[in-house]
Amino acid sequence: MGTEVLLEIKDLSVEFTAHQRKIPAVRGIDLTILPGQFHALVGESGAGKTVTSLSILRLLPSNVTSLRGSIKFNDHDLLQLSEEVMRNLRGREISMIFQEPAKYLNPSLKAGVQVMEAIRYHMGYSEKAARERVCELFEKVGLSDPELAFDRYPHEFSVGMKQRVMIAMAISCNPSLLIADEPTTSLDVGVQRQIIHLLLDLQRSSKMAILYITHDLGIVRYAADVISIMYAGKIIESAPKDLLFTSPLHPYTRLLLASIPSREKRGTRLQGIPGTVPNPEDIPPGCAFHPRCPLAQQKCKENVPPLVRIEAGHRCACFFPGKEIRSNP
Amino acid sequence: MKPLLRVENLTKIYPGSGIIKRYPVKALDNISFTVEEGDTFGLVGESGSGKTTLARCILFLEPPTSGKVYYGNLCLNDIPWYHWRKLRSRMQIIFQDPNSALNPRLPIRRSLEEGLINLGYSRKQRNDTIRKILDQVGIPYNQVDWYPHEFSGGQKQRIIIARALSMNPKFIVLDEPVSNLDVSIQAGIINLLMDLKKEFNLTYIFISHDLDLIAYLSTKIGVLKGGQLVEVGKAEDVLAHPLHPYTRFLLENPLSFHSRIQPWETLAKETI
Ligand SMILES: Nc1ncnc2c1ncn2[C@@H]1O[C@H](COP(=O)(O)OP(=O)(O)OP(=O)(O)O)[C@@H](O)[C@H]1O
Ligand SMILES: Nc1ncnc2c1ncn2[C@@H]1O[C@H](COP(=O)(O)OP(=O)(O)OP(=O)(O)O)[C@@H](O)[C@H]1O
Ligand code: SF4
Ligand SMILES: [Mg+2]
Ligand SMILES: [Mg+2]
Repeated sequence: MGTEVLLEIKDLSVEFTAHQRKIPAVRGIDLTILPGQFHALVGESGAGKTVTSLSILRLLPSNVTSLRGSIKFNDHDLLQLSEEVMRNLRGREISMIFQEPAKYLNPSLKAGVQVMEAIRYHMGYSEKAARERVCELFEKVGLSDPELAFDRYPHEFSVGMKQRVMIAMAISCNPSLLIADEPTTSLDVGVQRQIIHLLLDLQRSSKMAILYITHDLGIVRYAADVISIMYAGKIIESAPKDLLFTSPLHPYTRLLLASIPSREKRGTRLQGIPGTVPNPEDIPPGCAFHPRCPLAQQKCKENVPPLVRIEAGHRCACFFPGKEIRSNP
Repeated sequence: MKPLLRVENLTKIYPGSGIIKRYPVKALDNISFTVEEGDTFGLVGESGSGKTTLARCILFLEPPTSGKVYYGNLCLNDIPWYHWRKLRSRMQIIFQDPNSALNPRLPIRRSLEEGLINLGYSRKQRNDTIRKILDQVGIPYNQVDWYPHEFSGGQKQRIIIARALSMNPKFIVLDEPVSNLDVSIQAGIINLLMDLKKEFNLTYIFISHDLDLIAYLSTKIGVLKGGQLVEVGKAEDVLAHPLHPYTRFLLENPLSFHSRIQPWETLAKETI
C-alpha cells in the first residue's frame, strides 16, 4: 500500500463549445491531493483553474461538450457518480468557497439561517441542534458574537465577515476537502491574513485538505504544502513548496517568480515575459509556452512536453527543465 | 529639485445622502505633501483609504472640500475654466480598468485621435503622432484600426498609456494601472512606464495597494489610511525606518512574496 490519497485527478480534459468554436479549457491534467494537504493551484487568468475546480464538484456550465479523464475521490470516480449521490457529497465531503461571498449568500435570509439549512440538509439535525452547531461554527471562524451574527443579514457584514460566514457554511459538515477559489483576492492585507490563518488553523485542527486556487504567489509561498502551476489548460510544474521556490525548473515558473517586484530590485528592470497568455481557442502547437519561451527549440514547436517526474515530488513539463535562462538585454 | 506639485491641507467630505451612505464620509482628511520634478510618488493604502479620491481631487476632476493644490506656481483652485483644457493635457490620469477607459465601439485610432483633435492637430500630424506613440508602447501600427476587444488587457493598458503620452504630459497620475493584470504582463508595463518616465522627464504619482510594487518603483512614498496620510517621506527612509505602526504592519506582511515569516510564527498569535 502506498500513501493514502484523497483526490486523484487523471488526464482530465474539459472542452466547451461557444459560438461554434471549440474551447479546450483544461487539456489533460493530473493532480493528487493527500488528506490534510494544502495544495495550491496557481496560474494566470484563463489558465483553467476555476474550470478544474468546477469539474471536481461537477458544477460545470452546460456548454461543456467534452469531459474526459477521471477524478477519484476516496476511490469513487466523481465523474461517474449519479447526480443524486453527487448532491450528497457536495457541501458534505467536498465544499467550496469563492472570491465574492456576496454572490453566494442569499441577501434576504439571515446568515445563521442559511448555514443552518445547509446543516439540516446534510446531517438531518433538529433545528435546535443545528442552531447550536451554527453558533459553534461562527465562533470557530471568528465571528465574535455568534448569537448576534446569526440574526444578521448578509449586507450587514463586511466582505471579510461574509467570507467567514461562507467558510462556516463550507466547513459545517466537516468536509475532507475544501476548494477555495481565490477567496482572498480583492481583500485588504489585514483581512487576507486573517482568512489565511483561519484556513490554516482549520486545516490543522480538522485535518481538512485544501485546494487553494490563486494567482498570488505570496500567499502560496506562505501557506501551501504543495504547488501546481497551470498554463494554458495544463499543469506545467508541480512540487512541494520548498523545492518549487528554491529550484523552480520550468521556464515559465522561473520567469514568473523573477517578475515579482520587490524593494531589492529597486533601480533594476523587472523580468516580465514577452507576449501574452494564449487564448484557449488558439493554443500554440507543441509546448503551449513556446512563443514566449527564451529556451524554445524546434522540438518544442512540434512536440508536447509531458509532465514527468524530475525528482521526488517534483514534476515538470519541459524538454529542458532547469536549463539556464540568459536574462534579456 | 523643484516642487512640481504641492498639496496643502486637502480635505474631501462626501455629504451623506440616500439610504446607503447615510452619514457624511470624510474621504480625505487634511492631506499635505509635495512631489518634486522627476519623482515617482508612490501612494499606498487599502481599499477605501481615499487613494482614488486623492487622485481625482489633485486634478480637480472633483473639487476638494477645502485645501489647495499647486502645480508649479499655479494654484489650481483659482484657475479659470478656459485654462483647464491646456492644463489637462499636461496632467494626465490613467485608471485601473483598461476596459472602461476605451470606447468599445470605436477602433483604437479614434480613441487615440480625440485628444489630438482637441489640440488642433492636422490629420497628418495626428497619424504621425499615433504611429510614434504606438511604437513607443510596443503596439504594431497596423493594429490601429482594431477594436478594444481584439486586444488583451495588457495591450489595452499600453494603448491607454499611449493616449496619455500623446498629450505631451509632464505629470501623470497612475491609479492602480497594473492591478488588473497578470504578473507576467504587469512587469512589462512597469518597465515601459519607467522607460517613458526617463525619456520624457515625466513625474508620476503611482497608486497601488501592493507595497512590494510601491517599494520597487517609488522615490517617495505616502501611506494613506482612513483618509489620512499617516506617513510620507523618501522611499529609502520609509522602507528602512517606518515611523507609523500601520506602515510597519504593511512592511511586515507575511503574505508578501518576499516575506520569510513562516505560518507557525504568526499563527499562534493571530488565529481568530
Ligand atoms: N462556459 C464557458 N464557455 C466557454 N468558455 C469558457 C467557459 N468557462 C470558462 N471558459 C474558458 O475557459 C478558460 C479557463 O477558464 P477558467 O475560468 O478556468 O480560468 P481561471 O484560471 O480560473 O482564470 P481566472 O484567474 O481569470 O479566474 C478561459 O479561457 C475561459 O474563457
Ligand atoms: N462619490 C462618492 N460619494 C460618496 N462617498 C464616496 C464617493 N467616492 C468615494 N467615496 C468614499 O470615500 C472613501 C474613499 O474612497 P476611494 O475610492 O478614494 O478609496 P480607494 O483608496 O481608491 O479604494 P480602492 O482601493 O478600493 O480603489 C470610501 O469610503 C468611499 O466609500
Ligand atoms: S518545452 Fe521548450 S518551449 Fe516549452 S518551456 Fe520547455 S524549453 Fe520552453
Ligand atoms: Mg477563476
Ligand atoms: Mg481606488
